[in-house]
Amino acid sequence: MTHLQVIIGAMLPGDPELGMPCASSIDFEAYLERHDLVGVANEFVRMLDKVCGDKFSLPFIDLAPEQKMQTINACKLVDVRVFSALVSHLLRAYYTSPLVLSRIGAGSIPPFPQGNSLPHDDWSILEPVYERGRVYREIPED
Amino acid sequence: MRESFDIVIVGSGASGAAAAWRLSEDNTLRIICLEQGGLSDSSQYPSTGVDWELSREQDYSSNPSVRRNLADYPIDDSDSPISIANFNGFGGSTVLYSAHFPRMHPSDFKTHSLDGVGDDWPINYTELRPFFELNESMMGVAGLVGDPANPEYSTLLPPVPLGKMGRAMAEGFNNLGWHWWPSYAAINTRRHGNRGACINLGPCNTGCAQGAKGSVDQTYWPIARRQGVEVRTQCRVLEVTLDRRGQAKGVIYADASGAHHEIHASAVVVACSGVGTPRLLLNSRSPAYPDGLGNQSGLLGRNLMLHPLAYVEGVFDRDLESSLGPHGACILSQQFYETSSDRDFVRGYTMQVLRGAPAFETANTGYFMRRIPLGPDHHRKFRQTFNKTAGIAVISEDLPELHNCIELDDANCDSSGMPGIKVHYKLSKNTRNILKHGMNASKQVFHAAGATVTSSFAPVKYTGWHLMGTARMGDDPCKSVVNRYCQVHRIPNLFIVDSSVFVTSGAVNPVATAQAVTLWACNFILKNKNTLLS
Repeated sequence: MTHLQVIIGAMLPGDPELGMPCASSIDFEAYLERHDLVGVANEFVRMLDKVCGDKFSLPFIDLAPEQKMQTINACKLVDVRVFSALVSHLLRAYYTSPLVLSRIGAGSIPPFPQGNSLPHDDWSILEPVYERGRVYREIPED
Repeated sequence: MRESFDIVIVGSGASGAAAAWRLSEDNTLRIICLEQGGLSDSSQYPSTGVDWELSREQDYSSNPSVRRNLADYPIDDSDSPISIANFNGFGGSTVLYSAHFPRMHPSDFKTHSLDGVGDDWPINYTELRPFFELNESMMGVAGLVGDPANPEYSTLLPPVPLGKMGRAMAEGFNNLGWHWWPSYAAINTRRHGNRGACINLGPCNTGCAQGAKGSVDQTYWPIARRQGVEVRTQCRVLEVTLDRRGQAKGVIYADASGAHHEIHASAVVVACSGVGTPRLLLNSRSPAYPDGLGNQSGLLGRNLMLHPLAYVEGVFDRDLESSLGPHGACILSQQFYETSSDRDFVRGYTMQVLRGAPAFETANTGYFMRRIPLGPDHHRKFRQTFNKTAGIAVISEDLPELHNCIELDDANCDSSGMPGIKVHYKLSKNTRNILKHGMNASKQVFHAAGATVTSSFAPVKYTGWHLMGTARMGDDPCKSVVNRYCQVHRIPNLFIVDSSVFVTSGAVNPVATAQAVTLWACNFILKNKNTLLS
């Protein structure tokens, strides 16, 4: 597992109970390359490594899960711009992964051409609205 | 090279397309439409890809500053709490709109007489009614007849499905005893006009790959082109020209290579949107019109109305599959549309119930709003939100005010060297009171529906789709830019047919009314073609 995979695996770990995969199992590196964002990730990793060293004097991979989250959250205070960019891109990559979307009830993947079906409606639910009568102003025309 | 046509139409969006279709029903007329943007390929629309949520933040963004296409022009809206949204391409902003299609109400045309604000339109609802109906038949509009908040419709396509979320919200409105109704939406809920039925792709506002949404590249244009209208894309009109008598002579445009061309026409029909139209005419300066063509009143570019929006979001405690279905269209409420003396504002607003956010938007917003953390609790919190949310957009009636305006920005030019625009816009006290009331009402709806409100704010910044009022209609040339038939005062063969001519804004999405006005104006042109097009 790469260093970046360890980091994003801590940010979005898997949840076997809910059937959700760990972020390290999606190809985040490919996403970064596709969108020319490798530099953003590198900047984040450098920041995180420094925070990790300053805070725990240990490599990130050797931290306990709570310490990993403390380190990640501390990065926000160091450089909110770099932190927010990385988080947004990770969430983008994760929640546009077919593997992830198929587990959360996101409908057809991609939406076209299959589309989605919605239940048929019973329009008797409109009866009270109709029975209350007109609510717009009638205007005498000139 | 100089060419001659009977009519040149500038802009291929909602109004330009309707004009092209109606005018070309007269097959004796030679008509050309010039569009600064290019053609869109529906097979490339975001909903054809797994990562559609990314594409809509890039090439299919409604924000021209994000898209940065060659067709886009600079818009400096730093002096406005609302940013301009649009799409410059064949079909105009209808390619990316959510297809809301309610009509303005009869009272919207009489705000001065009724409420002492704004001005009365020189035309009324009854006069426009046949053009509303004609337009709806062409565009394919879903809804349900019998709405107590609107004059009777004669026919509509079946309504868009409520879905579980829509039903839950409807019950909330019913619990309060408030009006609600299925959305009026230019969406084919069954096959209509040679176009397929909606299959609930979801992101209508990124282009409809199914072709079920009534964007004008799918509705008016195929027929208009068959009727002989010539369309030239990637051709930006730089100036409307005048002859020696001071009448419109034609246009000068730049093609994709930057080469300039001149077209002569007996009539010029401008349909470039509420910011594009004044931009073009302000840029059409001459000794006779040093402040811009048709700007004798000084009102060209002024009275900009944007429909400031409030947004309230709520979350239910059960899975309602709320992210599925046409994202923008579900149900609307016009409980507070008309003026009431017991409120601290005049006029009113529409509440539009929107589907729940898609996956990435849910996670990203949830994280930055501190509701969905990173780490081991992420997935559980995400599940508590995704497919359980709904939104209410409050569309406030925006009253015309002189200081709300656009002006040319000579320091920032587009790819053809034409000045961009600066937007100056402020919310009025009346608007702020409307938005406040609308947010409170929306919260009541969520509570009555059994949901918890998670956020509410106003105005929403990136929602400046509805661009109105900058070339207003009126009988008095000192107080308006065009007359009741959309003719620019003193230049009878120059027409403005888009929502620039709106005198007031109503509190509904403007496309249905804009296109009805277009058809009304084109009816006049055809009836008077012997004098107008001689």
